[in-house]
Amino acid sequence: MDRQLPLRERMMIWMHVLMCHLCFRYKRQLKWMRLVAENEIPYEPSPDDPPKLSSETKKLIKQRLHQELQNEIGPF
Amino acid sequence: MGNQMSSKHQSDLNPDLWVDRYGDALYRFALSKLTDTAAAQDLVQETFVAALHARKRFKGQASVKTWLISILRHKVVDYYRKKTRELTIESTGTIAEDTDQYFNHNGRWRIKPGKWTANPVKIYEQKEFLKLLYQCLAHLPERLAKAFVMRELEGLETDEICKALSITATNSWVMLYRARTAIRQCIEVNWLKAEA
Repeated sequence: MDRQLPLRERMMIWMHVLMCHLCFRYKRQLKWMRLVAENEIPYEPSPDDPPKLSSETKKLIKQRLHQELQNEIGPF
Repeated sequence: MGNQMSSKHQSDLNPDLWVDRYGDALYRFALSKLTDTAAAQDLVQETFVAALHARKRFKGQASVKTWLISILRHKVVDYYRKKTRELTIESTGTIAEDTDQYFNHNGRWRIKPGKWTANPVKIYEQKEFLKLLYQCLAHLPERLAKAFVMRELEGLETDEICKALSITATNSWVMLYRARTAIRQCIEVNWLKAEA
């Protein structure tokens, strides 16, 4: 899953997984995990009422960011 | 052209614009992983703060939005890590260190992987599955969780993970194996209710 194995090793694993139903199951479940993780999409709300940050929250976040910037620059 | 690119890059990195441009998208992403709206807002704020401090290291390989989502992902895992004691999720103990217990000395399965009663690939199961995945990640040692997130959720190659975590390739393969095995087991125990 993380690197290309030599053909011989791949064949050996393939043969083993064919004979071992638990290994087959394990491999399939890891594949499912990867498939879902790869296609992770942000929460899709109904188009009528998508959750949004309130303007007040946005203002507070901006204030915090400005404060952080001030701290980064230091006192004049 | 170069100046245009540069000024666009600079404006993309203007924290004042971030909140307006990406705030809602980040909030929705956070809400897809946790139900507490106040916590989701806090995580969005913490993401922006972290990005602000890291902005000079951002080289523009990915879009600003992708970069911010990547930071938020790690924040979500950290959030669940802090909440681990309060969670009702069934602990899998020191799962990462225990992966060897799955096999006996003959190399046969000792703890058999159960048959999953749901298929997480089905669209309607995915949101629930991903939420649990993040909760399970919080039970892993931090470095294993980071490696898993980078590989499986961000799609990075192992050499990039090795660079980011300062580990060898062999280390990364072992860490990823342990992380996957532990996450699989955690999901099985907590959602899919394995059969023998």
